[in-house]
Formats: sequence, structure tokens, C-alpha cells
Amino acid sequence: MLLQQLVNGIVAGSVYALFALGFNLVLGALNILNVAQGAIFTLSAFVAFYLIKLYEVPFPLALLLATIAGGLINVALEILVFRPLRGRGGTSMSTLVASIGASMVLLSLAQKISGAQVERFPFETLPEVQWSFGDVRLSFIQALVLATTVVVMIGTYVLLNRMKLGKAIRTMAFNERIARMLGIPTGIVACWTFFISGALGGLAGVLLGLMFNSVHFLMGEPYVLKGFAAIVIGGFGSVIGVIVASMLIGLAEVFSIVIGIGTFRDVVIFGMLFSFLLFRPNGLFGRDEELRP
Amino acid sequence: MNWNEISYWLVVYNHSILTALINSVTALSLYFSLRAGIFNLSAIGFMAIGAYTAGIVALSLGTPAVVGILAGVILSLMIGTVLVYPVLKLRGHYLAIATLSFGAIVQALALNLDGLTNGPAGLIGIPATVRVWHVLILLGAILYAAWTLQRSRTGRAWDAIRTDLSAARAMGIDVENYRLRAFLISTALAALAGGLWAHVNRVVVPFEFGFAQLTMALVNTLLGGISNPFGPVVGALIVSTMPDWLSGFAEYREMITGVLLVVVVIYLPNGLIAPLAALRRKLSGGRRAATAGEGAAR
Repeated sequence: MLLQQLVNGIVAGSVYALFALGFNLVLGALNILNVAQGAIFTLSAFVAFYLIKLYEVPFPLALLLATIAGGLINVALEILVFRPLRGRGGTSMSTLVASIGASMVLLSLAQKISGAQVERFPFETLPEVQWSFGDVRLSFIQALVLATTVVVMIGTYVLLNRMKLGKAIRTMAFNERIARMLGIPTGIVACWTFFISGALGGLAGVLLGLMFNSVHFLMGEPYVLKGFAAIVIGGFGSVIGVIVASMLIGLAEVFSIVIGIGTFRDVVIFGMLFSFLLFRPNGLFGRDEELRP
Repeated sequence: MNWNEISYWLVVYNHSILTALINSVTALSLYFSLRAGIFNLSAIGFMAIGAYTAGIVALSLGTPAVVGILAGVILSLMIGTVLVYPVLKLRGHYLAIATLSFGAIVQALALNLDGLTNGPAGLIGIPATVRVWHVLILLGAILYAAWTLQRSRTGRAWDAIRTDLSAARAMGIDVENYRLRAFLISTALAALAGGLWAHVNRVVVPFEFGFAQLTMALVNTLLGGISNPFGPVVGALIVSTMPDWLSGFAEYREMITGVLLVVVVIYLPNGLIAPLAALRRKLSGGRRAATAGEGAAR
């Protein structure tokens, strides 16, 4: 029983990790806290839903297309909102406010399209398979979430440490002006950063929509706040930190239900976030004070 | 328009007018923090505390609205005083996230402390004793105080801190003290707005104090502009009364305000009040060309 809850917590944490990794990438590289990531999460889930429901696209293809759609929406935001703002010398406050505005527009689009309905995926979207390991049961979607998260984690690590693009992103994270002086095409690198971030958000949205089998226009909102929590608890800019913190948040949620304070789970998580900010603002794996914005 | 028509109009739009005025108070609450360069998003949380305190006091003790509203303001100030020291150590995004999570904690508590707040159903049947002229007088007094403050030593200190905190400290400005003042003024105003709202709306439910409401308050404040205390009020009045004079607005509310927010932040960083203020300066001969509020939103 305890082991089962542990698995459930890790699966919940995996969705947080996918979402927060995208958040973290843009925050680290461009110092933008992109609230619209929550809207992308929702919109991608809708894209996958409509592809499957209306056009009967097979699930793997729909997942891929929805992920790409999430990335493209984020690139559109970079070109329409964040780049003009950077060009005009916007501060971290004005970029945050602009992303809130963009998020409102995207969410109201989702609301208009869906008519504020709660949508469900068709019955046989995913194979009804379940594996049992002793007492622990793992459904197909849970396995899919875990596998995706592992792949994405390795992918992010390889991208940031082994690939040219990742090195360019890290240089920009260090200092955008120096990156430009080194001949890095910062505009293109920024677009790729937004694309990857949006794709991760979209992937998380589709998987979450499948896991609870419900897609509605407000599903992203709690993820924005919990994504913040994961970034802060994990430590600014630390990939491992964000993943560990996401798992902690997932486990805290599941176990506050187990010990009977389930209705207070948000209080527990935001209380955790708050105490980290006050007592250890660098988070679990954060680097030095001077690197904070 | 004769007197009868005016009084009829006032009755019909009474609730919209009160909402707009209270939104102005909330916008001014955000204004004080932003003016001092503190990206403080706790306003909605303190508004909830003010509203719940006023509601609970009015329902359980039956005292006049003033008592409950004052109790809410005092309670918020007490919580704010505890909160302000750790929060003001944070910078930029971290401060925003911390204050945002404070709001989320308050909302989650309001949803779950059934005995005190009656959970998701909320407090019902609070007497609607706050009138338009009460709020008008309060708003006038706050605006007067804000106007005086911005032209005083405190206002100049806030502008210096917002522009460059380290430079302000190097100039010998007591940065911590002035930031603390701005934060506490914001706290008190947010609680006041919440208390008034409880006595206007008659109902206090947790869902009125979420991220969406915070967004609207930010839109009000930044649309008007924070270079001048009239900016947030103008913004709040325009946005809050939009459903009444813009047909089809209710349907596209989020979309319109979202687009407005993005456009204003990018192309009009000093808000709608900036062109007006520039005009006023031009009319008065441009003597004070370098006014303190210039470049406020950046």
C-alpha cells in the first residue's frame, strides 16, 4: 500500500517535472518567468484531444503534434511579446506581467474553443493494460509518464551539456551580451529555448489530460504555481534540483491525502515553497547567491 | 438629463460604481509596492483576510461595518509586519513568487477552514451597509495622501529605490525602512478594499481571491500607469466599468484585457496616465520636465 502510494507520488511528480523543466529552461536562459507556460499546457492538451476525437489521429502521432504545437505557440509568444519587450529594455517585472497578459489571451481562446466544457478522451485511446509487481500496480499511462520523464531528463542533460545549442543556451544564461559577442545567434537560440520549453509544457499537458482523462481550460492554473514551487525548492537553474523538487511535491500531495489532510495539500506545498524562500532561497541544489537575478 | 434620470441611473449602476471604486483602492494598494520597486503580489491574499475578518465580525458580533473593516486592516497589518522582514530580503522573481504563494496559502486556508470561513460556500448574508459616498471619501483621502507622499521625501526615496536599489543605498537612503513602509501601506489598503468589498457584495467566497483576481488588479494598476497615483485609479475605473459601456465586452473580457496588458507593457510602459501627465507638463510650461515619476514602470 505504501509502495503503491510512493509510485503514485512519483508519477504525479513526473508530470510536475516535465512542466517545471520547461519553465526552468526559459527562466535560466532568458530570465523570463513565463506564466503562459500554463496556458500552453492546456492548449496542447486540447490539440491532442481534438486530433484524436475529431480526426481520429492515432495516439502517438497526436502526442507528437500536440507537443510541437506547444513549442510553436511558445515561439510565437517569444516573437510577438518577449522579443519586442527585450528590445525596449523591459525589466523582469514587465516580462512577467506581459506573460500574464499573453496567458490570459491564450486561455480565453481555449475557453472559446471548448465552450468551457470538460472534455474526455475516447475510451480506447490507450490500451487498457496494467502491470502488477507484487502489491504495486502500474497502469499504461503511468508507465508512459515515467518513461517519458526519464527520456526527457536524459535529453535535457544531453542537450545542455553535450550539444552546441545547449552550450549556446548556457552562455546566454550567463550573459546575453557576451553570448552575442562570441557570435552566438541569440535570436535563434532564444527561439529554440522557447520551442523546447513550450514542447515540454505541451507534453506535460497531454499526459496529464490522459492521466485524469479530463481536459478543460483551467487545468493549467495549479501547474503554474506548482511549477514555481518546483523551481524555487529545487534551486534556480538546476535541472536535477527541479526534478527532485517536483518528485517531492508529487509525494507531498499524495501523502497528505494518505495521512488524511488531503484538503490541505495546497497549504502544505505552498507552505513548503514559502519556507524555502524564507530560509533557503537558493533551494536544494541552488548555486551561489551571486548568480541569482 | 434631469434629476430623476440621474438618480435612476445611480440606482441601476450602484453595484458597478462601488465595484469600480473598490477596485481603485486595490489598484492603489499595488501601486504603493510597485512604486517602491517591490513586485509584491500579496494584495489579493490580504484582501481576502480583510474581507473574511470583516464578514466574520459582522456576522458573529453584529457590529457596524467600520469595526469589522478596521479589525481586518489591523489583523492584516499584524500578519504583514511578521511577513515583511523575510519577504523584503528577496529580490525580483523570488519576491513575486513568495508573495504569490502567500496569496495561494490564504486562498487554500479559506477553502478548508470550514469552521471559520464556511469553506467553499463562503460567508453569506453580510449586511450591505457600505455606500458609494463612503468609498468616495476614502478613495479621495487615499489619493490625497498618495499625491502628497509622492511629492515628499518618501516619494523621492521610493523612486530612487525603484530605479536602482544599490545606488539609493549608496546615497544614504534608508532603503529597508522605506521599502517596509511601502509594503505595509499596500497591506493596509488591500485589507481595506477587502473589508469594503465584503460589505458591498454581501457574500465572501474563496474563489474571489485567486490568480484571476490578482491578474485583473495588475491590469488595472499597470494600464493606468504607476508614474502617478491617479494612474491606477484611472485604470481601475476604465477596466471595471468596461462591461457597462462596451457591448460584447463581457464575452471577450479576458482576451481584451490580456491584449491590453501586453500592448501597454511593451509600448506604453508608463501607462495611460503618461500621455496625460506629459500634456499637463506641456501646458504648465514644461518647467518640471524631469518629473520624478518618469520611467516608472521600468
